[in-house]
Amino acid sequence: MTAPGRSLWQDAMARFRRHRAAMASVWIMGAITALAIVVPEFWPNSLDEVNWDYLESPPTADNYLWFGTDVNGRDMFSRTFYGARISLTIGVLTTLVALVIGVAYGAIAGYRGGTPGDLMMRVVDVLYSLPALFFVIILVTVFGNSFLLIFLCIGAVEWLTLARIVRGQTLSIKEKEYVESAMAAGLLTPTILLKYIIPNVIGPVIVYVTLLIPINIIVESYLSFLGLGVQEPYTSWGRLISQGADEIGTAPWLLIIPAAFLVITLFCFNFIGDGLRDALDPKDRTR
Amino acid sequence: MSTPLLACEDLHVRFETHAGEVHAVKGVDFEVHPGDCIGIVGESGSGKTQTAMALMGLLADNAAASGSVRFREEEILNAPAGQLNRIRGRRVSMIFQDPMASLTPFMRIGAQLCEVLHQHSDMNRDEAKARALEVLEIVQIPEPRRRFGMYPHELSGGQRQRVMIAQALLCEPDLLIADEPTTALDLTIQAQILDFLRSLKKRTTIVIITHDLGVVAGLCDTVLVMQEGRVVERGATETIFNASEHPYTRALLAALPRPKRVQPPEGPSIGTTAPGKSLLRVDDLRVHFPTRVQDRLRSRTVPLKAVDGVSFSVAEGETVGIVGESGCGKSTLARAILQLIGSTGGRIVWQGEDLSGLSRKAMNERRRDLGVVFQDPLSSLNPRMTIGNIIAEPLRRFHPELDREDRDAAVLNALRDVGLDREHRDRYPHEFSGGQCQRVSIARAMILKPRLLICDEPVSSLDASTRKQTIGLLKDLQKKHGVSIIFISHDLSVVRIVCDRVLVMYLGHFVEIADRDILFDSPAHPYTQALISAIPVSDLKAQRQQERIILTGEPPSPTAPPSGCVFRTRCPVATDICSEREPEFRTLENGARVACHHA
Repeated sequence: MTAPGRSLWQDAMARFRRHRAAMASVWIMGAITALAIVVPEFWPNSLDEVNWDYLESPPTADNYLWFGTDVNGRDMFSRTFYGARISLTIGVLTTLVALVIGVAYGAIAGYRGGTPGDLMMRVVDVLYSLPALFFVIILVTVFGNSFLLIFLCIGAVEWLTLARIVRGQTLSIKEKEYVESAMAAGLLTPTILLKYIIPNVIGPVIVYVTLLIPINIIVESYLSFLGLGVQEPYTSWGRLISQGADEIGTAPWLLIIPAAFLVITLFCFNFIGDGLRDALDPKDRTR
Repeated sequence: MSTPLLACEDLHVRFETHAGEVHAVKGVDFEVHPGDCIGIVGESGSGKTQTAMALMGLLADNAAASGSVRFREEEILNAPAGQLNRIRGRRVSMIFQDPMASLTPFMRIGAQLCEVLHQHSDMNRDEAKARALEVLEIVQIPEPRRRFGMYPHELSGGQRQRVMIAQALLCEPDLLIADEPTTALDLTIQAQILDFLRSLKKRTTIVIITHDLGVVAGLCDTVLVMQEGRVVERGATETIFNASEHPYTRALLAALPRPKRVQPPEGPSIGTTAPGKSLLRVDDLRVHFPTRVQDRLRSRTVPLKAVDGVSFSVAEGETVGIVGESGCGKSTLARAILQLIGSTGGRIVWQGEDLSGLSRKAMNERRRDLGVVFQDPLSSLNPRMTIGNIIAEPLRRFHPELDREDRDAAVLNALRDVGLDREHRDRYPHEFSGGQCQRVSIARAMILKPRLLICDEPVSSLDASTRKQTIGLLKDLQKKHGVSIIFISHDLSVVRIVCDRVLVMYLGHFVEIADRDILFDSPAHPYTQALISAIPVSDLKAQRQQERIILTGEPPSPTAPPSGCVFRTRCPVATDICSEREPEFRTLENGARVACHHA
């Protein structure tokens, strides 16, 4: 017998591995993630410890203060990677939440169509019309400030756009003859959604999602700025950047270092997104 | 001999692609003299269109042309755009295949025509408008004044093609190049346009590019046959048709339908066994779609009667053909039988039970016995799945008990049945040609050994030779598995080869139901007669002598079908009674059933 047939995902993995920029990005993000996990736990200077001898010190090899210290003399290395922990978790997890809800909701609304589909989209419209910030403030007032709440807030707002994108794509794809063939072959609705609709809407979705991760990181920073996100002494990239911006004349490294990490992350997710989009599309564009 | 209008010498076109250089046109020579009508014939990929594009300087950016093209002794190959623009549109015009894609959707017809005149002449507005109207008259568009203010989407396909021709004729060009001018059109509309092009030969020199020798037969004086970038045969049309030398030309000719009553198609039709018991019975089926129309100030909902009361049955092992032009409701009928579209009325009785009354779940179970093959080979396969997975999909659904190895074995079997290799299993649809994709569709439809296979225009997007193979494949599979087939097509010549019985459909109604040979030898309904006479045939003499019935006008809208007989607005024999009473089916002596007051 010959080898068994390959599946879409096996093929996609093989194609993704051939995308060099995407693979490099995966390694870089892997490294940042590993540091984000390890550094805050084991680094000699903790994130809230004040180094009285090194107030607002530029990066130096002394005392492991490789990224310098902030105005309060706290170690930026430790703070940057603690910030990575918060920012990446929020960026990735909220986007995943938004992705799962948005794609499922949009695909079902588009595929079902008719009045139920329209009703589902009107619900989206109503949620869309609520100002996100107002929404968040209400939630925080009712449930108190917590990390989990930030997920819910950002995720609850961001999936709406995804649902609209996916629904629009689904409406056009369900008219394709291969979907009709699948219906005529008696395939069940979940199979059609998972194997026929969703893989074919994923292109524009991935592009949007890779933009969404950095957007969510920024959203978290302004929530924090308003006192709704993480609170001192804990921190995130968004907070570090906004604090660094205040000191740009006297201590530029406070801005440059966290901003550089955010930019690197942004690029990496864009490349990973490109790689995923190409990997999920059998029409090979890389050659 | 006079100096040629256009002389093309040793023309080569090469494309630089990521997969290396593609040599699309390999040294083509020909001359066009004033008053000629030349046909360039070849299948897709033969380089015929690229030749025309090179003549007009319209090649894609990654293409390079070499050789020589002279228009009235002036070298125009690779000429600068300024020089070409003096010639293009004014002295040489081109008509493209897809009339919708070649007209700007946001501009009114009249404005588009006048724009060309403003570009190429110094006419003022009124002169330009007068000239545009004059040309619209020439191309025989009904009510040219009204059409002048319409947008392209408001016209039918045939009218758009006429507008395209009008646009090409505006500046009275010396040479008209038409690339597949009738391919996108229905048979009776194609007959109208060809008839018109014949009358145009007196005005201008024409080069027609087509895959269909039948189109060339009644029109051109000289024919060039192209294969793989080379001209393999050239000569007077008579010589090519009656004494062609090149095997490729003969293959193309053999793929054409034979003239009527010369010789029945070789071999028996698919189902030669006596029809078994009834498998499917359709009773007075109606499918109406609510559509909104703007009626002065209010909009109201009117039913679009896509299928309006049709009845027929399919017996075991039988092949039934449904023939009609686009928009007649034949695809809607197929989808209604498969319950992909809900019906408005009537019954679909499948093995004794009414499908339209079943729940979704129960209907889904019945689908294992109903296979379907759609028209567009590529878009009916999920681009994200391998061929093997596509074919295995029905097995996963209906035989979840099979393990991977059994399923793989079944898929390999199915691939072999349709003439594909086992290596093809792990490839994706876009790596295949149209014919191969259609084989995959057939393999998928047949893997559960259904009892009825519904083919909706399965071969209309394929080249002549691929078409022949695909039909052969369907025949073989039917012989092997004894499946019944409903074969839907606008192409009577294909239906003639495949079907036992033919149903002719017009505007949501059947107009004639007859056995194949009876229908083709003595068509009773005037519409059937017109359709049959519009088939381009391979025998030149027959083609030229045959009296053609050219229907005027176009099918009316299914939202407002005519009273009485739906065909009366285009019928050459219509009388008063046709508008008063809807004709009922009568059985003729030869067994044909026809719905016409005059048959």
